[in-house]
Amino acid sequence: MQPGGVGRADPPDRDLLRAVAARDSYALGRLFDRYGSAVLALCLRILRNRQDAEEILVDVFWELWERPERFDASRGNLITYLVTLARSRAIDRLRSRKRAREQPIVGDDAWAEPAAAPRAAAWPLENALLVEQRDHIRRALAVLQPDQRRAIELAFYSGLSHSEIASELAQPLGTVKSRIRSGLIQLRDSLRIGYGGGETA
Amino acid sequence: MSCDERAELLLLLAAGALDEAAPTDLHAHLDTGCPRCAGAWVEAQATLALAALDLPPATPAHDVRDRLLARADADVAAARSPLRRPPQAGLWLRPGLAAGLAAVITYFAVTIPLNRRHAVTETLVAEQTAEIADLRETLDASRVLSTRQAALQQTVEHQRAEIARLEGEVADALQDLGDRPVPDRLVTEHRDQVRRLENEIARLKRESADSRQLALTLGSPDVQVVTLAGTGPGEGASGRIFWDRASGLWHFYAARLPESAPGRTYALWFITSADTKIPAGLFDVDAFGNATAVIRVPPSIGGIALAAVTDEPAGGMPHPTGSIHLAGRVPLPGRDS
Repeated sequence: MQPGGVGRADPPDRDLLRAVAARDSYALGRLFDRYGSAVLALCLRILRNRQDAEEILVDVFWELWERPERFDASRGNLITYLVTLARSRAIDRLRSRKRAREQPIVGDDAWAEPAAAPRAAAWPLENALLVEQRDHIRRALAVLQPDQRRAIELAFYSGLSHSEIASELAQPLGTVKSRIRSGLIQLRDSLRIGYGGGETA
Repeated sequence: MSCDERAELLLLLAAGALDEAAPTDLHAHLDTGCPRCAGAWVEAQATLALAALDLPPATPAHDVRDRLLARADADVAAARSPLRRPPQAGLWLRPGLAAGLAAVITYFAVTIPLNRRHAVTETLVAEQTAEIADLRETLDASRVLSTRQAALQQTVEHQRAEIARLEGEVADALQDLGDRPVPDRLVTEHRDQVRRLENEIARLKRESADSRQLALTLGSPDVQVVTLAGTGPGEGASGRIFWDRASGLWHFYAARLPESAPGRTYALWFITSADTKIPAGLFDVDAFGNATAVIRVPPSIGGIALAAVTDEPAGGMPHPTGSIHLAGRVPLPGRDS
């Protein structure tokens, strides 16, 4: 009798990327299944608007489809590339929304998953290695002081400048800079201890 | 500035927490190819990317993935289209002030609104192309069934002819025998043969009716197609579900599944939006790895998000225990996967 649980052959990212470069949309779908939920979570966190977040999600994977050669495996793994690209586009969208004086950041409920959207099972489509990584990441983030983490989140997810963060937190500018700097170094060192680098899958 | 100092700045840059003037200097230094700083930049981006993974994953709506892949398929189709012609380079080799002015005016007056419309048109084309691909797949399946139906009908006709011939032989034999007594054994054998053929005709008629009904079902606009992809031990296999929402039936087809090990069978699962796995039915494959089944969808099941096939112990299990061989997302009503 075979052991229980999920058994599947997950091609590594490099194989799927090679297939994407060869215009294989199935491979694009596999990468979307593997990383789409993480990328969407980041976009939602930044934009607080599901429609905008899903547009950026599609943009990011479309960029991967149109220009797969822009991902350089020697400069990091694919999830890093996707998250970096997604953040950049989401922040741009956020800033253009503010410039156009569109609806400001709405309350948390507005970008939560709508009731009609089905929750795809973590089985069978999520990358199991990604799930394991989250525990380690959570432990690394838990080491940060709340003030450090809040300041970093405002910089990373909201695209605020130091001055804007200082204003948001009602703290001196120098204190904000120091907390962000020390928090990031601490985070980097914590994650560095746990990972030797390399591909996610 | 030392590379160690730059490493900290690169961390701030990756977090978006650096003053605007500094990134230019940092990027200029990275462009020199400094290996230490290149490594520090990679690590900085990875640090922030990993931190972002702490966010709870969010599920994209079904149509997001569909739209993306439909767009990619349309892109591939467009690249293969024989109607695509390479740009005629010669047209750009005539400068002329009037032509230049006309190009500028055209750009501002026409191209910008055209680009907007082109983006919308491109999306519509992608959606239509995806829909056409789905219809073609449904039509192909319909043709396969129609062919099978025609073959069954031929078999039915053949069996009828065979029965007529045998009945004729019986009648001729009885006539030849005249008043001579016919051995009971011979009469019994012929009657048994006729009965077997009549049963076979009845079975073929039922199959033919089922095939005809299924062919009609497949052509219905209320039928959704769920595509199942092979995975794990089922890599290379494929499957399809035609969900007839009007009748509440799943018509399930699978191809190229590996033969089950002794004491094992295949199970089809409904996986609901709440991540509950509900057994849909058990099946075995033929010598070619193919299988079909008609499954009734429980009316009270709610939203179905996924369909999957696993191998299980014979008799099935209340929850999946074996390897996934086929899996596919179930689209929202009105869409196909």
